[in-house]
Amino acid sequence: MTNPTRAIAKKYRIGKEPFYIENNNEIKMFEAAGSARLPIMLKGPTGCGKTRFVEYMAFRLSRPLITVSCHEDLFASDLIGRYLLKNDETVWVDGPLTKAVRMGAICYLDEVVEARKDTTVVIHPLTDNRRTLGIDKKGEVIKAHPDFLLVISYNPGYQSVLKDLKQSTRQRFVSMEFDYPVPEKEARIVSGEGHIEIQTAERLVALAGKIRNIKEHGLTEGAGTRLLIYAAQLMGNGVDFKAACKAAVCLPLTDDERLQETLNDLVEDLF
Amino acid sequence: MTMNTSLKTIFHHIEIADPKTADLFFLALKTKPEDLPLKEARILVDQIIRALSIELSFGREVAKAYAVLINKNNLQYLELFKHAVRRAGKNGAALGLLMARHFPGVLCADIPSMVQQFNSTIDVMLKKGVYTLKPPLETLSHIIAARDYDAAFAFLELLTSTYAKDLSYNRTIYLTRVIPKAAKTFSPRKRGFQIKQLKRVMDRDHHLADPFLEGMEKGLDLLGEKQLGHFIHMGIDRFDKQPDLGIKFLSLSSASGIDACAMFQVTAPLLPELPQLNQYLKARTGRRVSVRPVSATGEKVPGGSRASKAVCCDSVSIYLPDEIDLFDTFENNRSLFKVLLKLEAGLIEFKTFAFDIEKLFDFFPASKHHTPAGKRLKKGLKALASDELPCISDLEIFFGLFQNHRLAKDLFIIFEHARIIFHTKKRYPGMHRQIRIFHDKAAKDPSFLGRHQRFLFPVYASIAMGLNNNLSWAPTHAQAQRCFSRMASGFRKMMPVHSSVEACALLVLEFYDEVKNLVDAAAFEENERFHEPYLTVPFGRRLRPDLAYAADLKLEAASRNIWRELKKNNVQVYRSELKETLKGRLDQVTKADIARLAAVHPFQSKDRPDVKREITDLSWLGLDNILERNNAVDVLDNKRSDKVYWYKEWDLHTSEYLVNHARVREYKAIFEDREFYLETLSRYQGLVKKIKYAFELLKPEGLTLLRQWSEGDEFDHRALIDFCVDKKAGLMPSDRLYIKRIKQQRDVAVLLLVDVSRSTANPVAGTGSLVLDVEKEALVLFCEALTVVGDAFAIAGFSGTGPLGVDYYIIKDFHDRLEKETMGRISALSPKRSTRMGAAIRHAAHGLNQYPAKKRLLIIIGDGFPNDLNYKGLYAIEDTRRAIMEARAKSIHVKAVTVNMNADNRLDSLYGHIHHHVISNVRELPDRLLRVYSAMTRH
Repeated sequence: MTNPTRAIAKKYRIGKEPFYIENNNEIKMFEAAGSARLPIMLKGPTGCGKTRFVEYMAFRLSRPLITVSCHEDLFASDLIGRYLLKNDETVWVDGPLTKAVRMGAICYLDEVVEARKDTTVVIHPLTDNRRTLGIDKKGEVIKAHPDFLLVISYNPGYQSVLKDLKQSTRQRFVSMEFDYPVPEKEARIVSGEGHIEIQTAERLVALAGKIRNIKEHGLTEGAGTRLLIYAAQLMGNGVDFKAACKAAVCLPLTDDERLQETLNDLVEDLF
Repeated sequence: MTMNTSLKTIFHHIEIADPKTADLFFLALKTKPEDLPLKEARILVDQIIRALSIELSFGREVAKAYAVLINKNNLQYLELFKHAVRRAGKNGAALGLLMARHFPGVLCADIPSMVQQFNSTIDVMLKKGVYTLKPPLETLSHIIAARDYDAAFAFLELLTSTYAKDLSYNRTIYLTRVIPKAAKTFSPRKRGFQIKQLKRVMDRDHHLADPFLEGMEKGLDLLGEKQLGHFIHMGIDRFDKQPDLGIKFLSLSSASGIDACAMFQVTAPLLPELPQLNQYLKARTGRRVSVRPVSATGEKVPGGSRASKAVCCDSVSIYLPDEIDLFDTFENNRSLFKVLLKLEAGLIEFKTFAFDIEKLFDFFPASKHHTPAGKRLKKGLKALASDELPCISDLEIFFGLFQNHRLAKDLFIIFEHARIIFHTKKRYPGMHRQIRIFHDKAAKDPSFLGRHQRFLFPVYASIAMGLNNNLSWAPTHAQAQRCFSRMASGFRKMMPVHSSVEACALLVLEFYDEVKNLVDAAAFEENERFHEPYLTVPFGRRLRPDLAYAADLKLEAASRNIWRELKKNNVQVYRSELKETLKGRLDQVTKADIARLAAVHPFQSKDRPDVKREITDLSWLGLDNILERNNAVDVLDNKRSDKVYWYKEWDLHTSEYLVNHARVREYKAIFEDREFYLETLSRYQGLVKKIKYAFELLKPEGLTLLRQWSEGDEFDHRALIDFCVDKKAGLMPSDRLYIKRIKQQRDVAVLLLVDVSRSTANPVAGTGSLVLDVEKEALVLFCEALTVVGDAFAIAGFSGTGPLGVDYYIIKDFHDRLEKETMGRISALSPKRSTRMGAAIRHAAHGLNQYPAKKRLLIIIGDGFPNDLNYKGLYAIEDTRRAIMEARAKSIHVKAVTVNMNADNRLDSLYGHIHHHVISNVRELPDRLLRVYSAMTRH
């Protein structure tokens, strides 16, 4: 690694250990996949801790982490890089993926199904034994740094024809399934992240458990741990329980009035 | 029937006249007619024979009536009947027959004033003609059979006053049909005062009967006695001032009528609350449990007293009253549903029905095995181990161990309800507060507790309702007071240590004898208050282990068989835990599960090497035989045709999907010549031109260039020149130098789902055409417009009968071109049968989902609510709502256009209030449909 690359890499390092509690044996699995240089796909519902897990692993493996949140207007050039004008000349600027490939970072493509189809093709040569990235505009092919690791996340909740990964893409990844943590752990997470008492956190988790029970009855997804942490943070800042749950948990989940009433009933029961 | 010979000879005459009549007579005769004087017997036989000679059916009816009256053993009634029939018989067989059929019922009610009223009513009605009698008398008999004498009396008065009026022949016939029918449909609990109010409006003007009955159907039936009285008073008042307004008010057709009814309504019906309650229940328990009305238990709810409605639960259902009117406000009554649900759901969540006698025995201190309680328990265990195990639940076996099992059950209810409250308070503080409010209300109004103050209520109030002892029902009996406070403190000591259902049984064992002695001593004093039942729980809650057992019958049997098999082989598991595991695994249990359960059972967990082997190796256990596993083949006959699809349906009553319930058959619609299509085009020539122009504007422009972008695919040369100029001039040049190209695609697929049910054959007011014709015209214009804009579109119609016969007609598929055949299909559309909308929407969503487009729309054109065989009202609405939600979950935008009806709140709940359009005049449809579409797909 050249000096400037090392300097950039430093910027992408995670400085402080992120709060993470292992749920299954995902840490071991990730480490194994990392040392075998296998790309990883994380599946799981919204707000269950996929992104946090990647941050944690980047810290644990002391590798830089480059995160790209994919959206439907994400072009291949947004990942690879482009020529820009600087002073009187055109200068090539690496995109996040190229940067990661060069410096040996973990490149995390969040919600990859949202990206345009052509972007997924760009990552194909990176995910098999070639481990290369072709830059057409420069006529260059970069060999990936040995530490480079590609991680994508994917929410199977979007089971629509349009937002599904192609088999050719899917079958290049080691897949790890995430779900909401078990109640005790989830309570510890909510309490730790939201800085509230464990008893209150347990209540919040109980509420989430009940909401997840009716996932198939009108909610597209259950309440994620993230929402619970938001509620906990509101409570930590002096908002009372019911109002915090309503604002951070009930209202974001659905617009349906009847469902809203049920959610409110559950909140009323618990607090 | 044995009787003395002289009577026999007399009755023999009937047999000679008509053997069948004699059969009927003896069949109806339940007592020995020994007290019947021979003279009377002769007269009645004469009368039967005379009636037979007039008409066979008349004679038979008279014979039956006499048998009934002889059973009653009242000579006076026989006399009255004899005269009435004789008199009626003179007017012909028809009247005689009616009297013979209905008069005995009136006599048997034993109310002299009613007999008098009946006679005078008949006199009045006969003035109009015999034809007025039949339906009213049938309804009267129906009411009397239900022992609702108040209502019967009111009904007779209504008939008298109605037929005393000056009515035309047609009007009389009409009222004769309508009034009895309505009185029969009134709810038995409210029938009396509802009939009185009907009489009141009819006394004012008999034409008010129709608006009143219409109002009853729309919601007046939910009003209590006082409230209905007020409402009718207001209605009549209005009618006096302005007849039109009064009629609208009474029929709930005016806003003021609806408002007044809503204001007066205090009764909260269960049905509209069901979806909400079920959703809550599912969230709370996470199990397959649903709320059902008490009437669904199949048991009669006795009388109409306030505390008589039984609220109970088994392990799959919670039964709540069909309606609640305990409180003075609607809101309180409605909230009571929720509170009752929360209380009963506690029994499920905290596992009341997982009670296990074996577990109880293991908890029971060994030092007490020789006490009466210990001996009792051993008896229970013995019963459990015997081969002839009774088919009852463990709780019932437990109650059966006590001499006075009623008392044991009541004691158990006290502790169990208290335990539920204990857990609720710990886990759901908010819920506990809500329950407390209602318990306080119940405590303030003793009428909630039934007529009598029950013996055990003070202790229930103290520990299960959390009310203190200083209230009026605290026992005066010092001994009872001491016993009750010991029970309360025993419970409070027990709960923090051990809070399972078995703990409550332990408490029952501990206190039963003491309480029984109290009861016996009190019974000796003949104090009525100390008699059975010993406890009335507020709001009529009951504990029904029998229902819970019946609901899980298959599970109980399977768990019992496995348990017994294991026990034979020296492996012990708790049966209740086995049952829970079976339930969790949908009736399947593996050997690993059993090994896990066995490992934690105290019997094995002690160091016993001899039994360890059996646990780890359960190969001898024939689970498949016990669970009767058979790899049943899928019975659904799907292979017959590739155009048959099966869909689930939402069952409102159980709040579960019925899997593979509706069968949708997909057809290509037939086509004929496209005359209708072309005719429509020429008729709306001008409009078509305008539409085409409007839709041209919707067309995308292809690629959009975004200039002066800070990043992009290539340089924007104009910006580059500016850049150079600026630079030369020494200005700070902008870095927005790129062009970005974004492909503008209209990637829209739309499916138009058209209701072609029978109701579309209704004519449109003011024109000669049918609703369907206008729908077809809209389709024609829609096709023309969409062809201009180039969106992919499909059209389908649906209809059918029953869940297995949903027909789905493809009029135009996405890949079909708009040509002769498609035009012919639109032209050939004709009204078909019913509307099972849920299945059709599911199929449409399925088809739409297959089509690769970025935006997918489903537009439903219908003329009302879904309606099919066993698919009506709320059930149909809920299923359709679900189907729409499922479609939305597949990212399909669903809009609905409903024609030819007034706006209805239920449409909001069906489609969501921003997703539907109601068109009262169907002729607006073509225009509106296009407007909806262009608004939805505009950039």
